[in-house]
Amino acid sequence: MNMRRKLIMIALLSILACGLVGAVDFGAELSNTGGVEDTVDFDWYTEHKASLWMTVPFDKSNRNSLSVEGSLFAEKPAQSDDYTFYLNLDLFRFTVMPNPDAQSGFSFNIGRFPVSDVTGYIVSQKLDGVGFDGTFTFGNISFFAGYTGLLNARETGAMMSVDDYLDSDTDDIYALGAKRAVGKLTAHFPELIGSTDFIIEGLGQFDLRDQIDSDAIETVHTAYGTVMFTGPITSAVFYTLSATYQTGLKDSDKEYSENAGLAAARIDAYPIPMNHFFGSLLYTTAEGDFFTTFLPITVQTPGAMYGSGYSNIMKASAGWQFNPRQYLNFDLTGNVFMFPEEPEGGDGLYGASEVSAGATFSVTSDLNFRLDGTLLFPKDEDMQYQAALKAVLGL
Amino acid sequence: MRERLVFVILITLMIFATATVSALDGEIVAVSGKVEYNDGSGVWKLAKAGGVLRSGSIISTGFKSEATVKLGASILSIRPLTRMTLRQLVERDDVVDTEVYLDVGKVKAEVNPLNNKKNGFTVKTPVATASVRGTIYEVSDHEVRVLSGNVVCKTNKGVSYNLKPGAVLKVDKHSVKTIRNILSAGMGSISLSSLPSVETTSPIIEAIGGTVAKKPVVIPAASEETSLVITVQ
Repeated sequence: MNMRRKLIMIALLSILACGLVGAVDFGAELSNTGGVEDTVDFDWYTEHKASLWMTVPFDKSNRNSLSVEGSLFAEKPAQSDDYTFYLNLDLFRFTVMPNPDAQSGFSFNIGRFPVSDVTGYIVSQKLDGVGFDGTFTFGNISFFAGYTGLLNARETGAMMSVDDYLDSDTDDIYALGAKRAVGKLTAHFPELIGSTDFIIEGLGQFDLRDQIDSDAIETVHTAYGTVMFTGPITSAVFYTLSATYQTGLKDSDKEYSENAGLAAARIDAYPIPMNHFFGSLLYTTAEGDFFTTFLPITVQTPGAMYGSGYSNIMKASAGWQFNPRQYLNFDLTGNVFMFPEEPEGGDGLYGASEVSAGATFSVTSDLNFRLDGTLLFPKDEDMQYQAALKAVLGL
Repeated sequence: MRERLVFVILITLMIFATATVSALDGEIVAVSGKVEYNDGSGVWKLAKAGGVLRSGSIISTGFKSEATVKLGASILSIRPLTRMTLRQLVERDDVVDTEVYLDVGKVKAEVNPLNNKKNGFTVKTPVATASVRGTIYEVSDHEVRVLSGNVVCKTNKGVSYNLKPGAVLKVDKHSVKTIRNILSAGMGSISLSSLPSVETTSPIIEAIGGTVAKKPVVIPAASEETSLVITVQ
């Protein structure tokens, strides 16, 4: 390559780089929480997260872009005197929208990005993989295929087996965790029955420890099928009904079937401006002759303080959100937790009740505060409480 | 041969006589401010009350300017900063077909039956098509809001929505937001974080309200949118 060609190439690359740098959006965010709680004993806790993010658009309309976000997390949990911390890559997402103006618009996400099933109860976490979202004349189709093994086990929510918990039981600032392949296919048909939307979803995860880790204690493979109906009751009241059937196989000291069910109903109402009321019911199967307890991919807690997972639970919730000012929001939620079947050695179906109240205050668009308070009334135990103040600063 | 030709002409005339299609003219009823129209000749003229609008006419309103147009028995109110084309206004045997193309802005229509015939009243925008079944409605370029009567809105992706009184639909090039999304967004809830990782990118999760998804539990360490608005009143 002669000198002149080299110069032209350098000039072209410089122009391209300048163009990209000029369009790049970037920033930082500091999130700090300080709180007290009285569960086992009274204690205080803090959580701190510093995030850096960057978005690089590849076209003027920002339809094709790369978003990257990383963070450092540190905390002093309650009932512990030790600070712990870890690093994380929270987002690394290539978004490609080949032809947004076409009658059938579709987009691809490639990399690490948040993924959720339609109920939000089975998987709701970041995953590495490829996602497809398409809009067609009949509705929307969504597909995802991914892997959990490159996520930081210190933070990932994919906790299904003994090995997953052992992976997270480390001081490493970045520990590789649950080695699972996850696939999801969702079809959404708007107004299929009158004004009711119909959604059908198939979701599954395959434990790859057999292939990757010879020391695995147990492997769990599960698949979930969900049907959901959602639509308006009036112009300000909406309902959502869903049912999920789980099947699977746990290979531990012997093989166990993992058949379970989850049913959920929810009403959302916006009767007057700036007020949102909701009520919901949730049911998951208990251990029985055929059914086992529900085993989601992402471990979540059904309450702010109530720590059990979404297995062997009946939950009734009601809540109110009131936003009197653009800079001030209030919310109030009440939960009652019960067991579908009386637990072994238990006394009745009632588990606990919980009341949470919160206020969010926006000083500027880049500085927000959140005050949270929760009271938990466990059966046959003293009341427990938690209160925290969170400050989030965008830079 | 000549008799056969006469016979064919008679049959053709009979067919035309039984299936009549007659073009109707629109009438400019009232004007306030600066309103111009182009009747297809390429020349823009100032609109005045009593003026005639034929199929293919483009009408444009300026700042603080409005026009009221009578299309058959229906009344169309054209809001400020609107540009629209009257694509079709014809009376058939059993239906009066009206089609308006809204480039930008907002219109309000009172759809009334003419000569006891059905009304096929359609408003098209760059992103959607709204077909109105009776009564009064209003259209802007990014939202459909039904106050009474029924509207069928079809997006340019081909997805149809049957909108009943009270329904709201926002349509842009890439997404459709139903009344649930709009009411939820209208709450103006403060988002604590503005990080890219908290954005919802799934059109399905967004369509169903996205209210059920929750954040995963942190496991402690070892030591521990061009848019469209149509309103039917």
